[in-house]
Parts: sequence; structure tokens; C-alpha cells
Amino acid sequence: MKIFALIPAFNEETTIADVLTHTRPFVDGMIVVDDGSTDRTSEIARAQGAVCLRHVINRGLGAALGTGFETAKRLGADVVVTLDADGQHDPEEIQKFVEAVGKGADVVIGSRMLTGFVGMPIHRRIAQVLGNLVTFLLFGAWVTDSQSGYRAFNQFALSKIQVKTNRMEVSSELIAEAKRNALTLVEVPIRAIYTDYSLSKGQSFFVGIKTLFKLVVRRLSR
Amino acid sequence: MWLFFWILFWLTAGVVALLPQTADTVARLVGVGRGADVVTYASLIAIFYLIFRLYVKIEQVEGEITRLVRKLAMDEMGEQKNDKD
Repeated sequence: MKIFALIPAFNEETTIADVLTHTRPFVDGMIVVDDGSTDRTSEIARAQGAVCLRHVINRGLGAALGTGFETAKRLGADVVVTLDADGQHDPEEIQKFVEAVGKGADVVIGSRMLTGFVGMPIHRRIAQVLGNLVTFLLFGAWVTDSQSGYRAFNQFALSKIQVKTNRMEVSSELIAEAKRNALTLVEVPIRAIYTDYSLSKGQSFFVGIKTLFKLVVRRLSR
Repeated sequence: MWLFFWILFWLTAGVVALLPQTADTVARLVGVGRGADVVTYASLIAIFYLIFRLYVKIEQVEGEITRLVRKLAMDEMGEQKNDKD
């Protein structure tokens, strides 16, 4: 089974090398989508042996994942595991995702809630629960951590899922797409490593509102 | 479709400008007090609708930009591979 890690990165030169070094032992290939970084993210990623795609301008998380999925398909990936470039996901847990896919899951979501949101500030937890509710109300799919960046997709899921949104709304969109295509969705508990760095990279309340609005439009435009 | 919409829009605007009393007739029909009020309400609805259309259009354009950026990124990757061979 050909396992690829897909890491979208935007100005992550301080953490990307570490993330790639720790990810390498668990995968057959690493794809980094440098989403218009102005720092050395892509140079470092290439030096670490990752396939690095560079967006000329910043297009957002959804666009970066879309590019990564296309590339993974071309490289003949059987499983694609997406993880964040800020170091909040422990690559050792990739095995859990691969196991879940082996047991028949098409889409696997790593849930921080199943491990009790350890180390997550309270206002973030509330935002997460709201994100879950919005995903459920708009798309009818319930998961315990709809905004998680740690996910896995098998080849079948990749062939079915269409990413249309550009930015943070993609997390909910992927779950909606899994539901629409009747894919088997499984959640595995994950532990997020919160550092001052990864927390500073989080999203603000305002971005949350914008994301909500775009999800409503996405729902209507179907 | 859009041409028809705009022709109708400007025709109505022209008629109301030249013959303001037509607005009063419409006002009585829909139960609003004055013709001028009908014009205001109709304009508001039109503006909100157009803003929504614009929003959707911008989303489409964003999607097209993403497709271009993706194509560029993937072509660049292809070139690197060829260089290695």
C-alpha cells in the first residue's frame, strides 16, 4: 500500500523540517503544498525530500489540499494522510489512520475531542463544537471534530471527493463530500500538541464567521 | 436572460421617472402608501439581490484563480521531474 503524507504549508519554515523528519519513517512519500509562502518553506521541504508544489499566490487551505489530492492521484497513492505543518500532529499516529483505512474506512478524521481536547483553550473548544454543529446542520454529517486537519483518504475517496472551497471551510466540506458520496467515515482519537507557535497559527473568531458564511453559500450552490 | 432583466429594469426606471404617477398606481396595487416608497423598496430588493449575485460571482472567480494556480504548480512539478530524468 502506497501511503503519502500531504502537508499544506504557508510560511512554516520554522517547523516544516521537523515535521517532515518525523513523518518520513511512517510514509512512502511526502507531498508539501507551499501555499504562496514568502519564506523558505519550499526550499526546506525539497531539501527534506518531499515532493513540493508551490502556489504562486496564497489560495488558502482548501486550494492547497485540492492541489495535494491531484498530485497524490498522479503519484498513484493508495492512502493520503493530511497533517498540519505547524507540528501540532504527531506523525506516529499516522499508523492509526492507515489501520482504519485497512479495516475498510474511506475517510478517517482524527478527532481531538475523543481525547478530550487536551491542552486546548476553552474558547477554542467552544468554536470547535460550533463548527461541528454547523457541519451537522448544513450537511447532515455528525463528527466530533469537524475542523481537524489530521485526516486520511483512500484512493476511492480521492476519486469521489471534489474540493470546491478555497479556505478554511474545506474541513467541513470534506466531511460533507464524504456524506454526499456515501463514503465510510471513521474517527480515530488523536492527541494534538499545542505549542505557543501552533496556537498563534490558529484562526480568529472573524475568520470563523466568514467560514460559516461561505459554507452557507456552498450549501446553497449545490 | 440577463439582457432581458436589464432591459426590463431600465424600462421600468424610465417609465417611473417620466410618469411618476405610475408608481402611485403600483403602490395602491401592493398596498404601500406612496409611489415613492414603492420605488425605494424595489430598489432595496434589487440592490440586495445584486450584492448576492456579485458575491457568488466573486466565489466563481476565486475558484478559477485557484484552478490556474494549481495548474501552474503542477506544471512546475512536472518540469522538475523531467529535469531529473
